[in-house]
Order: sequence, then C-alpha cells, then structure tokens
Amino acid sequence: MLVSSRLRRRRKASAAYLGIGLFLAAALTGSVPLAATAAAAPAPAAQVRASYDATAKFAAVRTMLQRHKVLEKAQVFMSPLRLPRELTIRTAECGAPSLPFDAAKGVITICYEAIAGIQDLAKGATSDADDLAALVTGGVMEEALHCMADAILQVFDVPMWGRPEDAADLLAAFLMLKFDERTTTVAVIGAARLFGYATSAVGKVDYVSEVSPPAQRFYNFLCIAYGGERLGFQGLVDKGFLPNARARKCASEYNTIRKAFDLRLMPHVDPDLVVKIRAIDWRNYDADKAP
Amino acid sequence: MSTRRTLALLWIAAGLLALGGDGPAAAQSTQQPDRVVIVAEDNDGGYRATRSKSYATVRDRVIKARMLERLRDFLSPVRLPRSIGVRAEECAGGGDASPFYNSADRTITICYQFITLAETMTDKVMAAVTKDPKRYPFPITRDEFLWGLIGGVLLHESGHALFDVLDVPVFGREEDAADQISILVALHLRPQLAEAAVKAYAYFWRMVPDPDSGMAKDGKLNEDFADEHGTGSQRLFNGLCIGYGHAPAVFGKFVAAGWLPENRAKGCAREYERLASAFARTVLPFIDAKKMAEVQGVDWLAASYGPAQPVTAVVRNTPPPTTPARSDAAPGAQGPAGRGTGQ
Repeated sequence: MLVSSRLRRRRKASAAYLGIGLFLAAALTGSVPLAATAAAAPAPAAQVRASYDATAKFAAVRTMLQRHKVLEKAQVFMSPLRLPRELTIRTAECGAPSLPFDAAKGVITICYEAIAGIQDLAKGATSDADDLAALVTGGVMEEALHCMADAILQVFDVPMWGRPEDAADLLAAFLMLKFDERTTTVAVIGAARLFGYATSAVGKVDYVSEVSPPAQRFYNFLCIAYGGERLGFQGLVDKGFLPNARARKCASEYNTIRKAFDLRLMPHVDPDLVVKIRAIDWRNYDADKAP
Repeated sequence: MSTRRTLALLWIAAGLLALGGDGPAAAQSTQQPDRVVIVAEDNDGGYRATRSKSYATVRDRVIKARMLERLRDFLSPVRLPRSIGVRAEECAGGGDASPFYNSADRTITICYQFITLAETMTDKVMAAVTKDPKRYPFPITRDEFLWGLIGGVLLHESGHALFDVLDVPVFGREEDAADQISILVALHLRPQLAEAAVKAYAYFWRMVPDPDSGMAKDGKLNEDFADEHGTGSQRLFNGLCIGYGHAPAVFGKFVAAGWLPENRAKGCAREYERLASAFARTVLPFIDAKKMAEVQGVDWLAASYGPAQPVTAVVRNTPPPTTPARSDAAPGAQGPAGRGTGQ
C-alpha cells in the first residue's frame, strides 16, 4: 500500500510538520541519485518479468520510473528468491491508488496513481530539488517494496499473524535495511517523512480500515529501522522522532520480523545471490550493464 | 580419586543440574517439564507478597480465585517445547501496571494492579449498561465482563508466550497477533463463554477513547500512535471482525448496532479464515486434542472468585478438524465446545 493511497483529501502538509520533516531529513540524509554508472551485479532473474504499461494520463510518471529503471532494480532485488512460479511486476494506470497482488496471474502492480500521489505529497512538502528527490526516492522504494512484500508473503503462502498490510510494511522496512547504508537511510527517512506528511494531509483518522493510519505506519517503519540499525538511526531517538517508550521495544520488534523471515522466507532464498545483491552499490547501479 | 577431586566433580555436576533447571521453573515450584509452571518463591505458591497494603486484599482474591492454577490448567493442552512460567505480583509501574510476558525468563506475570483496574472497569461498564441500554445494548453480567476482561488479557499475554516458545513467525504487529489469538481461542470455548468473552472485549475497547488526530497541537505527529498496540477502536473492530467472521449469526448484532461497520464486516469471513489457517499451521500442531477438548468443556465462569472447576468436565470423542471451523450457527445450536474444536 502506497504512502499516499489512503489520502481521501490531498492537502498540503502543515507548515509545522514540514519543518520537522526537513529537520529530520537534514539530520539523517542527503541528496539522492537514483541511477548512474555501472556496477557489477547479478543478472535480473528470469522468473520475474517487468512491464511499464502504457499510459497517457501518467506519461511523465512512467518516463520517470523508466529512467530510473525501478522495475529492473526490483527484478534484481527479487532475484535471490526461488519463486515457485513466474511473476510479473508492472507499473500501470489502475484507476485507483493501489491494486492488490493478483495471486491467480502472479502480477504485482505498482500504480501510476500511487507514484503521482507521492510526487504531489513531496512537492507540497519541499521545493528543494535534492530534498524532493530524496522524498520521492523513499516513497517509490517504499511503494515498490510494499507491493513486492505483499506478493512474497502470498506466493510463499506465509501464515499470517497480525494484519497483512502491516506485515507488508514491516517486511518492506526490513528489506530496506538490506541495501547499502546510504540507500537505506534515504529510503527509510524519505518514506517515513511521507507518512508524516500524509498524516498531516489526511486529517481524520480511519480506524475501521485494515490498513494502519499513516501516523502508525510512520512509527512502525522507524521502529524496524531503529531496531535493525540502531547505530544508523540513533538520531531518530535523540531528536525525539521515535519516543523512548517505543524505541526500547524496537530491537525486539525487529527480531520478531527477522525470525519470521528466517523461518518462512529464508528457505526460499539463494544465500549466494543475497551476498551479491547486498554488495551492490544501488546509488550507482546500472541494470543495463549487469552481467 | 582424591576427596578434593570428588568434591570438585560433585560441584560441577550440581552446577550442570542447576543449569538444566534454569528458566521459569528454577525457583521453588512444582516441576512440570514442558508445561506451564507456577513460579513460586518462599512457599508463596506463585502469588508474591505485596509491598503496599492496598493490594493485599487483591492478592487474597487472586489466590482465592486460583488464578495461576486456572491459567496453568487452561494452557495445559499446549505441548510446549520449553516450559512457561506464571506468577502474580504487585508489579513495578504503579497503578497502571498490566499483565505481561517476559521472554527473558519466559514468564507471564499477573499484576495485582490490573485486577483492581479490571474491577473498577467492571463497575463502570455495569453502570453504563444499566444507565444507557440503548447505547450499550448487549446484556452482560458482572462476572462475564470481569472474567472476560481478565481472561482476555491473560490469553493475550499467553499469545505472546506461545509466539515466543513455539517460534511462531509473526510478520504483522505482534500486539495485533496476540489480540487475534486471544479472540480465536475464546471463540472456541463453550458458546456462552465465547460470546461473553467477545462482549467483554467489545465493551472494554468501546470505552477506550481514540486519539483525536494524527497530529499533535504542536505540529508534531501525535505520539499516541507510537504505541505498539492498536487504538481502542482498532482493537474493537479487529476483535469483533474475527468474532463476526467466525459466527455471523451470533455476532451480527454488533454489525446491526453499528459497533462493527459494514464496510469492515464484509471482509471478516476472509479475515477469520486467514487467522484460523495461521493458527492451524503454526500452533495447532503443538496442541493435545484430547486435553483441548477437556479445556473447551470447562465452564470457566462457574466458579468466579471461588475454587476452579476440575479440568475434566467434558471429554469429547470427535477428532478435531485441521483448521478451526467457521460457524454460521448460533452458539446455542452447537455442541459444548462449538463447532470449531480445532484448537
């Protein structure tokens, strides 16, 4: 589920919260090149097909995603998985902010509407080009990883304790920590800031939905990040973005998701390929030049 | 062998034996390997003495209710690969202290403070139900609410313990998962108890206010959302959804009354099936079906604040299904343990 999919009314984030977001960003991140030069990496897995579906309405969004080779990177990221069937990951005009994983056809869909929503939210939050890039990068990575996590949990028929949308969030946050440190920081902070801006923009909280409100997702996301990378994200606690009362439990929360991953997903993962994936410098990764 | 060497070996052997007994059963207690153990100290039966006099009478009531023995008996069908401890005490944290599970010593602690809180909450709910039956239209007795609340919270903490000891993979929020398992288990008790447990759960969370907004007045995010637990309404809807998904004929009244919104209710059968499947795959393999049937047959409400009933009341001969079944029938139309005897 995308950062902005639950926005019933899109408003500009409050000025006060924008200040906090910028402060958080300045404390923990910097600018973000999404793609650049070549680096050695495994070839994209044949078992995951990629498709940027045509769209007139969101042509600019499609072009941006293609330029940054978002789906090619997703293919590479998923390549260590020994999938029981072929999957397709596509970007598409959905007519809605999100589409669920199509288990029958094995199709993961990232909606152009979601990416456009992320861009709108980010533009409402900052006018600084680098900061905007960081926000969009974090939002797009969260959206893509959330969709991929949701599919992975279903493809491997994982027993589901807790709410599935939270599970996809937590697994996405867990997976974000597997990138290089710089990419992880940009992704986590960018995604979290967008959850914050979405909270400000949404206004009324929806307690009925199976999807947690963005404020909860903000803290859940940061908690997994802090629990898994305390050194890198200590600033979240020091600056008060993650309250101490929650922060104390984050190592345990991270270990819960790690244990679940080890028990149910790791048996489907090629460990040698994981090493190669983890060794990628994602900031400078060029999927076209992958071996 | 010299005397010194013999003594040294004995010392080592004693140390190894002590290591073997490490964990919740290490203190004075009745040893029940691979089961739930009441962790006693100084012959207190697991019920620690209180520091403040105000909780001394609470302790007396908890002892009289044999709460630890009941919890131990309730969990007895689980073939635990490692023992779990239970104890009662005046917990640190003041008057708000709630029962908790500590994975470091694998022990569930019942806080005397929580019993006081539960009794106070019971008075509040009973007054509300009496005063405004239109707003609180589901009849419930004092014992049903009080024991439903206490039992629900202890089941929640037992859920944490089971997730830990059984290595259950939890991908969602563990606090939600603990709520889920507590409701799921309660739904498969005697029909009257199952309904009472869900009603108590609903009344409690209905009375817990939600945060007004995602944002605080100072422009920061509202830290109420930083809690690892859901809000009152979220927990209310999640719990009712499981109940309604399991037995719409029984719990449809919560939908009719607007306590469970229609747009959530329509997906509850799917939510229940997903949960039941997770239970069947990750917890059920550790359950002794015969003992479970016995526990399901006990009227845990019958002896409130008195001696617990023996856990041999009903023995069912029918084998359990592989998945806790979904029931469309009213509880009264079911057998003593309901249709879903798979737990």
